[in-house]
Amino acid sequence: MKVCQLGAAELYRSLRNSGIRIRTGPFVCHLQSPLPAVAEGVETFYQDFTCEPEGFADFYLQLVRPRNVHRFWRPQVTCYLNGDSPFSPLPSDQAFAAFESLLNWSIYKTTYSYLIIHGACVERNGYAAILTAPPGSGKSTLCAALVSRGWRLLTDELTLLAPESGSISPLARPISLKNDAIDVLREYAPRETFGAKIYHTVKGTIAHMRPPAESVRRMHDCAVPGWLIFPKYVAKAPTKTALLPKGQAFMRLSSGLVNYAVLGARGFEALTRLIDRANCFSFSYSDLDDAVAWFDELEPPRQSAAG
Amino acid sequence: MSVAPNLLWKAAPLLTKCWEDGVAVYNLESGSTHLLTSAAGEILKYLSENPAPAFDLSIRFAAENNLVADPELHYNIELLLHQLDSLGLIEPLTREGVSTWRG
Repeated sequence: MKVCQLGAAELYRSLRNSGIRIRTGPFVCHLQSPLPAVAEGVETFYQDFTCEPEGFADFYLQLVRPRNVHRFWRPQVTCYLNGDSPFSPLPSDQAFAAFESLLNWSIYKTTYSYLIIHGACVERNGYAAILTAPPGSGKSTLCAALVSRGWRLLTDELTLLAPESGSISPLARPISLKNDAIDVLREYAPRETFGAKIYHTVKGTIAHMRPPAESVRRMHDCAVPGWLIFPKYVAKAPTKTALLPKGQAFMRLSSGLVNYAVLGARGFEALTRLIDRANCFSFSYSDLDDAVAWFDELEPPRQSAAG
Repeated sequence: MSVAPNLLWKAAPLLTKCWEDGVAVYNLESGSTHLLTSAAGEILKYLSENPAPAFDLSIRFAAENNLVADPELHYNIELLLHQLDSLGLIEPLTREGVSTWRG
């Protein structure tokens, strides 16, 4: 059953009471929260996701109002992962953003079956383009632009690389846009669904873009790494690209990995195989049409086959 | 810089991957990752096969790369060995196999 098939009243009631189980890629997340902002976010951004019946969940997430004095004049939200609270309470108007952060945190902290690359990933014709760079480089902006022009969203934040097969598992979820990129994308992709701006988060102002229904429907279709791209937004600069030597790409990528140290030798071998398969580029851009056009022209890498 | 001529070097347990612009190395004991020059990767490969002193490494490196095994090459190989040692990728042994370098 999809989340939207529950109906708004049942969704809100379930979230308030026993919670619901949402499948996000290979994970099932149990979410319980009485907060309307969380329910509204789930209703808007997770409408196409599968709602699993009773059973095992990988993560048990709870977002509630703390019973402290703040609730009288500055309501807050406290996040729980499997009963522990990893963050300090946040303003309650950031509740949906807090849920997204908590889900990311859950995957970061408990996943050892994938090599996790901090970066967005989109797919076309079976090949994945991994976009990885430090925060603020314009990964999500580029990802949202590509998705709005027909690329399939695999993930906006956490790229899951299976160490043994080398394939990338989708984890399509809302795309988190920050600051100036919000208005840029609203203008660039007016047919997409965007949430309200959430102000004063640790990352500045945030707004989410709903993942396309087709990307959510194909959540089990893995992709072969095709391109590894290190994007950087440079205001008013022309699109500029350069093929990166494999060794340099390896070192740049190894600094953007989440659980590489935990995976040890498996992580190293997965990483070197990824670099071997993918064509690696540095990529700076400011104009989204130019950027998307460059991606649309990408040739599949040699010596690898999609499937 | 000069080291005792009887000093043997051996490689730590490593995984390596060669590309045109360098050799990626993973240290199985420490979990550290490095990108080295191809020359450093070649020396590590020799030491992974057998422990060897700097002099023997210079001779082999020269032979396999059409170079002259002169004092300058030997100096550079010794320098490289110290750098690899400081990264924890190799360690010195005496000919009897007893570690003396770090006490």
